[in-house]
Amino acid sequence: MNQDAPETSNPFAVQTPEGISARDMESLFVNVFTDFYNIPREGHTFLHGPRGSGKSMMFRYLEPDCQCLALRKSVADLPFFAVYISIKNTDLKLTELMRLENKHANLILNEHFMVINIAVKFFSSLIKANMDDHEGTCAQAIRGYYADGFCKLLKRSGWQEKPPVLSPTATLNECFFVMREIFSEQHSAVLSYLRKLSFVDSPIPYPGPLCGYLDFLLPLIQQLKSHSFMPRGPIFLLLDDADNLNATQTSLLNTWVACRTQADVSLKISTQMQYKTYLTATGQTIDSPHDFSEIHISSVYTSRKNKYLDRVKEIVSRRLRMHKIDKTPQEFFPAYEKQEQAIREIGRQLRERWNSEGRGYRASDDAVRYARPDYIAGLQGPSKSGPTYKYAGFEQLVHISSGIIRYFLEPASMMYAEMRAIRTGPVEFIDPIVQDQVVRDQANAFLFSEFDRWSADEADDTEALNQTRKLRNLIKALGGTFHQILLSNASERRVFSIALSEDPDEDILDVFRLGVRYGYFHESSIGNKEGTGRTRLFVLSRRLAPVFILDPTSFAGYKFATNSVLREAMEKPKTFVGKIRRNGVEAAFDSPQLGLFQQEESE
Amino acid sequence: MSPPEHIPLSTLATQIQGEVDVFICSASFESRCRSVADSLDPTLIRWAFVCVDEDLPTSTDSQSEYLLSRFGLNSSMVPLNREKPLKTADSLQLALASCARELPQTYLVDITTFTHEALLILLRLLQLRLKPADSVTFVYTAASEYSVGDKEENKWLSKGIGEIRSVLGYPGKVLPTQKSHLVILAGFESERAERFIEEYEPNVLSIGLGAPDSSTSPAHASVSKAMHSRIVAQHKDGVTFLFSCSDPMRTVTAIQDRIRQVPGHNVLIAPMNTKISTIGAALVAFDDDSVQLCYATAHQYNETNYSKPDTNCYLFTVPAIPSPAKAT
Repeated sequence: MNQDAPETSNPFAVQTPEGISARDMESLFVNVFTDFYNIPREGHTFLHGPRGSGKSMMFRYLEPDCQCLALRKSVADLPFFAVYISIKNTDLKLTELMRLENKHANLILNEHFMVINIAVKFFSSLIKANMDDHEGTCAQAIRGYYADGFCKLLKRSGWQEKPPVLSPTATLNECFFVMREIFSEQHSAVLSYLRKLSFVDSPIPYPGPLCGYLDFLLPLIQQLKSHSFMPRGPIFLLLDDADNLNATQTSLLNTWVACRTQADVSLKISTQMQYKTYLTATGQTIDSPHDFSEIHISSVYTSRKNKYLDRVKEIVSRRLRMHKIDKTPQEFFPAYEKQEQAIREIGRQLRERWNSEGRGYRASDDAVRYARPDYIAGLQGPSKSGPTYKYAGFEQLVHISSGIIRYFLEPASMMYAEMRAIRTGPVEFIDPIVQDQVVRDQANAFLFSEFDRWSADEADDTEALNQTRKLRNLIKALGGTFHQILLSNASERRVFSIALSEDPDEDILDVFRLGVRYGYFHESSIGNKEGTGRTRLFVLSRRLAPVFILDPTSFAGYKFATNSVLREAMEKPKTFVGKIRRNGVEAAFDSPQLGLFQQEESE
Repeated sequence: MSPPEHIPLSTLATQIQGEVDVFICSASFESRCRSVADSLDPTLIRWAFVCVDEDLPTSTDSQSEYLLSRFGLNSSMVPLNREKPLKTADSLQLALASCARELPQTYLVDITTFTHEALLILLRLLQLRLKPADSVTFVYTAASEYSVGDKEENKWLSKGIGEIRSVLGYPGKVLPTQKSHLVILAGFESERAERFIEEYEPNVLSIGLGAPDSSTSPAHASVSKAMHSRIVAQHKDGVTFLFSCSDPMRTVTAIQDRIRQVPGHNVLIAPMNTKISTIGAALVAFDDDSVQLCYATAHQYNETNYSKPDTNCYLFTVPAIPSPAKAT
């Protein structure tokens, strides 16, 4: 994409951040670091989030080229120097490495492989930063370092071959190229050695150098960092998708985290919530906040709804502007006006009746709380061919995306493509009917085809099969229950969450965890019933709102449930919802009891 | 190098001409695993290795027992494990070592019902271990129908993906300085292909479509085309190229041509079409050790209706197996 993006290209296309230029990043990226303030600060950080939650985009934005543009500073004046290290599935996790498992060389060789890989990427970043050195003083300094410090470091690590001699006129980048090439060749040498392991059972002597984190990578970075062309702040190693490391490599990375080197090297580790272990190579655990800070993207954005709404508004505004579409997000994604008029009318009536029948503190509270649920309830006649609730309008779409930007952009991209297919001329807005249709299709796919797909991936034994079955049942039971609550006369009808009123049994927790892993629930915490502490809260993803006909605009309601109630929901969802329909929701769930001091909801 | 001969299974024994020193096949839940063995004269097989996946259901037991009994005392079972590629490699290696002789030997490999991964490991071992004077002939029985009885849109071969990994013996040289190019030889399993793309997020994506004139049946070509279209619909930036499903050397040419069009990338190949085209992918990696081959394990196979055997088979040799460069 570029600044002159043609009107015909899709403004909501999801791109791989690695391929976006710094200039496009400046136009596209919305600074979210006030929400995730630990990321650009010194210190080790784990950043957890599902695919599409913006992790790679954040990392890309931290790279020097983007930071220089954003802050209008030279590299040396940046607060940090970030090295982007994308970890793809089989970059480092080669099957040949399994030959080393349970052998003494396992840790050493895995660490060497990781260090060399990072060293190559570190020098690639230095080259890409293309630092200004018109007087040649930086090049001179680095040539001096090369001959003195760098070559000594290599020798200490067992480098047998004599490193190439730098030309006395080598520029800064030429020096970096030579240094990167040394590590690239070593990387190839490691791969050649691993290839030899493919079909041997007994160990083969490893003839090359061995570089560890503490004895090689850290001093290398510290020495380079001391040069005047580098920022004074720490070096950030941005390890993207660390779930793709093997178990040994993961434990080594944890060992690095435990080293507390953050003043010089801060590790920023992103995961798709399948990080293998928090144990170090010596079997100790690393813990938050002692060793690192931890961010769960979904939790941050599901607990601060306005913040997320603002972020998406800004992201969409930028994309529209970049595509020369002179509309606000609300204008581009209009609500279904007939529906909104009817809801406003119900709200007006509720306000009028508030003096005699009101339930909220203010008349406007009743309008906000009950107008939309009343409208939805009014549509629920016996006829299936009657009007349906329309999931349309910018804010509603933002709520449905459940705190994950990809779940806004992907449907938006489909809506845009659909509009282009059915209309001629430039697309200036998305028809609410198209919005509704795409959102419904996506919700159904999420619960059915997508569920089938990943549950087949999970189904490697009977227990796993049983868990996925229970999760599907639980979603159906809770979705059905929340719909019944919406239709009821309850004081809070917009319920999306379940809080656990007792310590959860492990089997119950496992099912919820599976749901969290695949995005059907978000996990949070809330004040417990007794007002003496906190308990787990599981929030059903709003992406499912259209499947169960729920109002996605609320973050308010939750119900307390016991293990036995949840177990019934997991085993017999139809009977469960039937009971709720017949006996009312209070028959199964407890409403939150507000104490003397009302707990602030943290959903 | 002549293309594979497409011959009736009933004439296979005549085509083979004389004794086979080592016959290697794989037991499977598919009845196709017996097609070649049934067409051979067991008295002309000096040694038969029946590979059996330990992880497959017990329904495979009867097939392995049948194959072992068909070759009688001259046969032995080679235990493979689809979850443990090292175990597969070690077992195959042990088997090949046990039948090694000083004199040149003839090998006949029925590739039909190996998993892609086990076949690739076997091919690498044959390339590494065999003497230049040895000869290896491959035979492949196509299926007259896959996902037997299901409508085209409902056809399936496997469900659920466990691990995606590099194939042992084909680690490639994935350089941290280069962008990635994923080459998929698409077949019937669009979801599996989707997972590769999702997992690797390649900078360049090439989606191979089996050339209709090379398909082992027109019906397969139609299903493959539909599956290919599904992948392309999801990944509009993917480049389509045609490859042969029935001639490994044509597969090699197609893949190499495609790789040459995008120089300077780390190449990862996911072979997911016929086993013949998988041999083509292996030959590309033999020729260029920077190429990585990858594989996705499946949780569930369409065991009851996976395939119906054809009455014909493909018979062929490839120039790189055994490796001509290797000294005796």
